Amino acid sequence: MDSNTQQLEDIYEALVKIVGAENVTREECDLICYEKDFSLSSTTQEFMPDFAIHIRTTEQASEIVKLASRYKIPMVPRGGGTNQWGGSIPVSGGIVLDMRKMDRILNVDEENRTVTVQAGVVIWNLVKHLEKLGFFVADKPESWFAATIGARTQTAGTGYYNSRYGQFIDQIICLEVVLPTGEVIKTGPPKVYDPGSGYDLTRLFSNAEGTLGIITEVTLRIHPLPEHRVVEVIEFPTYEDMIEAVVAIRDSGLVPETMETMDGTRYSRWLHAVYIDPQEPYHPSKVSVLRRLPPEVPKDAGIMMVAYAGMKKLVGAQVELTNEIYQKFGGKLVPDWCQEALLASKETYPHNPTPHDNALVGKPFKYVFDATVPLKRATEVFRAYLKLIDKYKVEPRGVETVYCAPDFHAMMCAQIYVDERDEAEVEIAQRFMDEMHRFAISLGGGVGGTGGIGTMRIRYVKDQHGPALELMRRIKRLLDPNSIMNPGKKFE
Amino acid sequence: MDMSSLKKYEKAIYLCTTCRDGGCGILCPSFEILGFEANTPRGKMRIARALLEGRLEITEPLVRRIYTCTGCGYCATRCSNNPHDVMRALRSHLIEAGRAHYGAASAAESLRKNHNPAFRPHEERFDWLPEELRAPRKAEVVFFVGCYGGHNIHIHWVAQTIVKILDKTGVKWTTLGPDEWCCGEVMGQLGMPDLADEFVKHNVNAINRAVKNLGVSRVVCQCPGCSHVLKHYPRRLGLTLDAEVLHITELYSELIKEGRLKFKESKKTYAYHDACLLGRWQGVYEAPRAIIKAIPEAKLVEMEPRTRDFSLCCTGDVRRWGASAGYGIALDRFYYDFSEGLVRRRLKAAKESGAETLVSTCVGCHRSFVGGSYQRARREDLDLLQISTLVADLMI
Repeated sequence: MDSNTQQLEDIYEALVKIVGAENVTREECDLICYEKDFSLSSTTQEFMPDFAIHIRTTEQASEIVKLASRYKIPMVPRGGGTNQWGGSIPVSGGIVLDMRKMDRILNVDEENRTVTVQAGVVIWNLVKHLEKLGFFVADKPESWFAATIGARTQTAGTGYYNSRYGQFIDQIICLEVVLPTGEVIKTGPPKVYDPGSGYDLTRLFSNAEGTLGIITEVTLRIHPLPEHRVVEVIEFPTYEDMIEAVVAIRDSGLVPETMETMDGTRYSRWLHAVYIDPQEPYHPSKVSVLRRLPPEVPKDAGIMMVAYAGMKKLVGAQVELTNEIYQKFGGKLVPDWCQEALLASKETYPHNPTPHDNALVGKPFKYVFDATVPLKRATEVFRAYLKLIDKYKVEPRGVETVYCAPDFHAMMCAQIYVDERDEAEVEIAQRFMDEMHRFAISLGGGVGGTGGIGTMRIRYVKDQHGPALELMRRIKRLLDPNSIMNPGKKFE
Repeated sequence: MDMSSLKKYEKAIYLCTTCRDGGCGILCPSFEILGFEANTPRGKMRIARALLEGRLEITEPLVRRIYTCTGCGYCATRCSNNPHDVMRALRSHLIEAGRAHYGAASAAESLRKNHNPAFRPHEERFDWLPEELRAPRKAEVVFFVGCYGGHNIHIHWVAQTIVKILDKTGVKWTTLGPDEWCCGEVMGQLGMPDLADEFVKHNVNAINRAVKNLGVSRVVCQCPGCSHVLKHYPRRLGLTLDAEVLHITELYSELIKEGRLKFKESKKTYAYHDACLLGRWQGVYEAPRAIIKAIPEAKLVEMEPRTRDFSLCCTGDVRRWGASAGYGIALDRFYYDFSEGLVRRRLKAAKESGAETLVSTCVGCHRSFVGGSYQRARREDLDLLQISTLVADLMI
């Protein structure tokens, strides 16, 4: 047995001692499932970890970190594995910490409107738990069936309710973090967000993508379920008109709970993906959401989804004012049956439209762009995207944007279909990605967007941060001198 | 190595990109108990891909990952890419590679010899009936008893109870007699689709003959597996079944609507456990609930959030394959503990919902909850009842 094998054997035995044999695996068939996430990568790239483990308590996390720093073996915390930029891939091997068994909801403080959960709680489970008590967390991403709260704190992100309550990071009150030395800290007082008493550690450890420590507990704000909620879906003749309408709504002082837009392509594809021929025999994956063939929508068109919530009277008044605004810009409500289908599939995913969508094109879609853009520049980004689609002759899936409070900055993302088995296609997608991200930075935007930086967008962070990047590196080295926490991510 | 069964699903396997919607993963019962990505459908899609690419050897742990899919179909409700079919194809691949669980081969042998996977002589299928009622006769409906109901002497009470209810409500019924074979679902689950198809074809012909000769117009199944297969497989094979197929709960709820089935009052609180094969696979969520709602004074509670299409599988299937496949898988401690873990979660959820009685439709679920074959049982302060028992107890 060589020294390396002997060391792995020692680590294995130590892991078993900490978490128990049923929570450690080094079987190839298990590890192979951790080599990828949702990010674009050619099929030839494979990154197998050495071990995958489940932890259940903060103490275990601390023990594991101490073990890892003793052996200088990399550690990759992992949530639902839906990251689109490679953040959960174990690029240097090591131990994957599958956090999904840290799944306890520790405390719901109804009076002070906070909830404290272990980091591995899946968003869907939290939403359902709070629903029973009459509350909700102001964040619901598309990945809510899979994403965990801990991973959500680490990778930024947008979802429903962001235009009123801000992004997910604005929901965080405090975190419990296991530092790369094994020490456990809380980043703030347990019940209130109090950034003034020191350096704002809550913000430092949020969006760190697991490079500074392991998040084990998260305390979030919660809100009572509203009495009334109205969602409207509006079609605009052009994307420009729609952006103007978003600006007008922001400037009018209206506070929509959700403000989300997409281009014509995305909208059409969505509806086609949820259309199932009602003649098809019953199958659980083919529950018909849309019973009629959807209408054709020009790719130039803009679709806005706007929602208000609160007291019925107040919601009614806000909807009325919104109607006046969108009509000024040529907006029209989409047919009832289209709205119903879109919302039903967005809200509940009776069947997930993604695979059906992929099947219609014959290859899976991948994210090629995701950035925070100043609202008034969103149209330029959309035009640039259309130009690149023509230039590279790729199959577009469209652009989606979420607008976040308080300034309605646009979190834009774009996707195209890529066959990952075809190296040339992957190469083109990478070039597409480069041009889009660099354009967004040149407009004064940032590439954080949703999903963080991962491995794939490291090449843009220098453009964006300049000398500040060196400071970030110093912080990383200070906290994690052995560089064991999710190495190869963020800016390394 | 022979890859033909995986090759058939190559497109689906490569379309799975562990997508951001990720719905198939977390709520999968295998993951719930065993954890690790390999126990989720998306993980198994990656395993299938690695097998196709020749990057992965078949090892004992891999075989276990493949057999702990309970076939509940939760992933199918989340994904139109049908990960569920790939789960079955993986089992077919194990057979090709000669690495299948020995229970699978023995079940197939029994099916070929006895037309049932239970190692019982075919002639015993209707032993639960008095001799004079066993042969086919003119009637409205065919009662399709299934292998589970017919061949397991410990649960003959299910079929006997149903027949009692049919008689009392005046439904004229018959059996298919020796023409009734296994529906084939078990074979599909174990990765032998071709063998399953043979049985479907046989049963379709037998039922169509009964329609012609006995004047029946409907088939009623007590097992959700049988009704799922008879409802959906003939069309897939290009066959026409001339009779309407119903699960027994659908018939009960119809009889209630017509006023032929009435109940005396019961002040209890009932939780209903959605059987995977009845709910998700047939879309029958309302009929069993309608039965409980028709009981005067009874209260129906839901085991939120895991109810209806989110229902958590009891793993009756894993046990059933074991029970039917020559005592293979069920006697393996690993599968037994796995199954028991899910059952405990389900009982806990029922308790938390405030129920006094947990009602199941599928006998597989009932047996999982009871941990045996008893018609009535009490566990964790819950009365466990199969729906036909409930109907028979309370009907007037």
